[in-house]
Amino acid sequence: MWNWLHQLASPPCFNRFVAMLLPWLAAAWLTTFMIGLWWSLVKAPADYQQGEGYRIIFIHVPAAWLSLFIYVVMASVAAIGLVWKFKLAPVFTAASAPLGAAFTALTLVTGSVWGKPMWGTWWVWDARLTSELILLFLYLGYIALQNTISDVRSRNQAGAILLIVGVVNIPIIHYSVEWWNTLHQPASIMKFDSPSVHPQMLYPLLLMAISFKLFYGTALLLAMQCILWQRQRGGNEYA
Amino acid sequence: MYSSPLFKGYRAIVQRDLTSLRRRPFDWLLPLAFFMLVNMLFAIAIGGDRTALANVAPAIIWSAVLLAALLTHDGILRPDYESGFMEQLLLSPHPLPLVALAKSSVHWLTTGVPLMLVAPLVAMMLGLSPRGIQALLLTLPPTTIAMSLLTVFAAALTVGQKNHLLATLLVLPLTIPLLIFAVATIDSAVAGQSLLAPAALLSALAILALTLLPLAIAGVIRIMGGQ
Repeated sequence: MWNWLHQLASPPCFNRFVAMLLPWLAAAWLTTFMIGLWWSLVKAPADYQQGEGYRIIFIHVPAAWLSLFIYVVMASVAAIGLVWKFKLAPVFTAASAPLGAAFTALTLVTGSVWGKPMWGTWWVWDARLTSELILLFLYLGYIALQNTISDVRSRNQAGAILLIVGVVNIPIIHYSVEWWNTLHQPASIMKFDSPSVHPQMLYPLLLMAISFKLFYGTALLLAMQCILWQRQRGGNEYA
Repeated sequence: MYSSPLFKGYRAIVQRDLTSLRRRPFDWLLPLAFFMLVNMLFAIAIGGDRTALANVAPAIIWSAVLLAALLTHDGILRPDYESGFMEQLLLSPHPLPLVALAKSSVHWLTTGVPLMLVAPLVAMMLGLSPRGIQALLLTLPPTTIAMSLLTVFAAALTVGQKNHLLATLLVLPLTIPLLIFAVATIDSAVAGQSLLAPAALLSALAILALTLLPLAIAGVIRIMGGQ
C-alpha cells in the first residue's frame, strides 16, 4: 500500500490508475446526477412557502458542502504530503484548488439568486454568506501563492503550510462570524434525530450531494493527469 | 530567562533588528502616518455627522490597525533574504521558531506599540466615548500581537516575490476573527455591557497565534530560505 502510493506519482502508473478508475467514476457521477436532477426538479414536491423557487437548493447546498469539503481534504492531503513526502500530494492540492474556488463561487452565486426572491436582497452580511466569501479568498490566496513562487519544491511546501494554517482558521472564522445574528435559517439538515426536511426533498438533496462529490473526483483525476503531463513535457506549470 | 543559551539568539536578533530600525526611522514611522491617513480619509468621507462617525469609529480604527500592521511586511525578512543572513540563520544552531518569534517581537515593538500609543488619540478625534477608548486600550495588545505574527507569516511566504499585494490576499482573510472580536469588545463597552467574553476570546486568539504561528513561520522560512 505504502509503496503503491509512492509509485502512483510516476505518470505511467498514475495513467493506468486513472484509466482504470475514471470510467467507473464518470459513469457513477452521470447516473447519480441524472437521477438526482430528475428527482429534484420534477418529482420532488414544491415547497409550501417558497413554491418552485426553492429547487435551487439542490445545486446550492451540495455546492456549499463540497466547497468546504474540498478545502478540508486539500489541507489533510497537504499535511500528509508534507510529512511523508508524497510527490502526488502537491499535484492533488494544485488540481483541487480551482475546483474548490469554482464551487465556492457557485455557492455564492446560487445563494444570491435564491436570496433575491426569498429574502428580497442579493446579499446580506450574514454568518454563512460571509464565511463562504472568506473561504473564496482563502482559495484565491492559495492559487495566487502557487502562481507566484517559481521554485517547484518551495511552492509545494509553502502552499501546504498555508493550507494547514488556513484549515486551523476555518472553524475560528466560522464561529467568530456567527457572532453576529443573522437572517440565514439555522442548519436544518444536519440534525440527526429528525430532519426537518421532507424525505421527498431530503433524498434527492443527498443524491445530488453524492453526485457532486463524484464529479469532484472525476474532475480531480483529469486535472491531476493534466498537471502530470505538463510536468512530463517540461512545462512545469503547476507541480 | 534571557541568560539561557536558548534565548541568546533571540536576544541578538531583537537587538540587531532594533538597532537597524533605529537608524532607519521611516521604516516604522511610515505605518503610523499610514494609520493616521486612513482614519482621516474615513472621517472626511463620512463628513460632519459626529454621531455617525462615533458609531463607526471602532470599525475604522480596527481596519486601519490591521492594514498598517500588514503594510510593513516587506521589510521584515526580505533584507535578510537578499543579504544572505537568512541562510546563516538556517545554518545556525538557534531554533528557527525562536528566530520567528524574535522577528515577530521586533515587528510588534516597532509597529504594534506605536499604533497602541497613537490609536487612542485617533479614537478621541473620531469621537469615540471614554468607555470605548478604555476598551480599545484593552484590546490593542492582543490584537497587535496576533497581527504581528500573521504579518511575519505573510512576509515569510512572500519573501522572494515581487508582488506586494499577495501578502494582503494571504493574511487579511485570516485576520477576520481578530477584527470581529476587537470591534465586538468596543461595541459592548460603548453599549455599557460586559466586554469580558469578546476580550477573552481575543486573548485566546493571541495566545493561539503566539504558540502555533512561530512553528508555521519557521517551516516557511526553512522552505523559502533554502530555495
